[in-house]
Amino acid sequence: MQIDVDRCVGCGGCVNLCPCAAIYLVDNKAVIDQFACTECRTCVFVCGMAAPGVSCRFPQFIVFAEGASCGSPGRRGA
Amino acid sequence: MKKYDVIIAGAGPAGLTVAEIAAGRGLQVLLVDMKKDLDRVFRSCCCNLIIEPGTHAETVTYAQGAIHFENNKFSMPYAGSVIPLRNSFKVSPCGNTITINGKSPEGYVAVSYEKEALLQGMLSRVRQQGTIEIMTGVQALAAENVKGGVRVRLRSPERRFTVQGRVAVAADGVNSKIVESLGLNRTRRKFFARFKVASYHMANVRCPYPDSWVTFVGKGHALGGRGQFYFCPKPHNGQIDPPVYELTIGQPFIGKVPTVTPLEELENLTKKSRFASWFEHMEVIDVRAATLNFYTPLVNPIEGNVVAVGDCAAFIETYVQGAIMYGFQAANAIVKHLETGSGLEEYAASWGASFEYNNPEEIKKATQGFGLHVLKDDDLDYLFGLTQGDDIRGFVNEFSDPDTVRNALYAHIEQVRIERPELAVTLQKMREVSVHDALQVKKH
Repeated sequence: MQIDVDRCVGCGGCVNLCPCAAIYLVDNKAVIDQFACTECRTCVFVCGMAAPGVSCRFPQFIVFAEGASCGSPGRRGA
Repeated sequence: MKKYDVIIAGAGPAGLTVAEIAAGRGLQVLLVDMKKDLDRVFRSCCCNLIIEPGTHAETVTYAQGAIHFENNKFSMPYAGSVIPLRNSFKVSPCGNTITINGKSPEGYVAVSYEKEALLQGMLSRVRQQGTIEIMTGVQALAAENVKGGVRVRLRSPERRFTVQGRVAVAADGVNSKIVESLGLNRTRRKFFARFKVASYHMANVRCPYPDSWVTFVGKGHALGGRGQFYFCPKPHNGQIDPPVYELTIGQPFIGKVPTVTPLEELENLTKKSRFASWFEHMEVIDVRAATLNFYTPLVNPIEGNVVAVGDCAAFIETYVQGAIMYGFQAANAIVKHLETGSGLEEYAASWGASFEYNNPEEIKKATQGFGLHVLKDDDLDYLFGLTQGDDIRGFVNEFSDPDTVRNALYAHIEQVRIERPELAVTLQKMREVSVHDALQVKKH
């Protein structure tokens, strides 16, 4: 998944709700780590701006997230 | 590894309040927030001062550059502008209204203010404290209770790392990662629904209800058949005249995701609806958004050495003033706890007793009031029409507003029984919702 930065207002909702913790706020916009994203579409469902949507596995912006895997940190027992 | 006294996740009104008080008492404080610009607001926020006495067992007023909390005996400086709101209008799809007149001594229903201005003031005071370290662009992912304290996992786009503290404060809002990481959303709360929200700040609006809080009630307002629309003037970068209006569009959903986007709803309401004339020359000057998972409150906001403050423990929200007030109470409890070894339970007791939705009866009341949204448009037009000329008094306050509206409609129940017997039965059923019914929600 990728974020349309022209639509994203940087509310951070998807950052907190992403079950893979694959989304960061960078310069007040959400950015999806393409290596951590599992295309689960949670961000698409929750975004009031319809900003996530361009499905693409080719990373435009890569941040290497060490140890990132699916499931919230809580589910893995922190 | 450096050990902090207090680690605070989230630099909103709750986190900043705790930070200022804790650091003011000489504690070593770490404040982290995923945002880079802490004094800017990108999220939708009601940001009306709820002035009804007794809200959160407190009476909050605005006077002389500060927000005053009478029962807790403290004030929070606020140097921004305000717009007192005189009426609350509920507008049915055909344009009939229920008019609620301000019940405060001054005749206000609420006071609209500006969150940026509030945060800027709070932040500047926090930055003056010597014992506080602020990390921006850093998100708290999880907290874990360990012997004698707590470990908090943090991350920035560049790295992940862990910090240790004696107490951690979850002030990271309605979608709190900390609360989720401790399993509290599964073990202690019930999931109601999801909301996605968009807010549009608009200039050049011709609103026929100036200085008022406007709620569009009914399915007919929304292109997608469901949605909540709120409209009110909002100080914008200090500007109050001519007023900038904020239109907030909320889409609740449980299973099926709404197919209509808030932007499409905006287009529909402002260009095609019967209210389009208000927006003829409208210009959108700012856009905000929010999304949230809507749970019942955390009845006990303490988990070991982690203290949940503000929206992350609430039922959607505690309002900004609630975040500040509970931040104030939590900070004092934490200071005491770190000095004497006990104190957190005082905050938990206060939260349990004062946050309305910890009482299931209040959830029942809210359910009854929000039942209005499921009535047919034609019935709403009819019911709202009945209240013309009534002197209805109340406030903008989610805790009392459902009751105010319900009572206003029930004043006409005899007439409804004669003219629309089926509607009278529906209204009666709505009134008889039990606590059990109100709490029947889908499992997450």
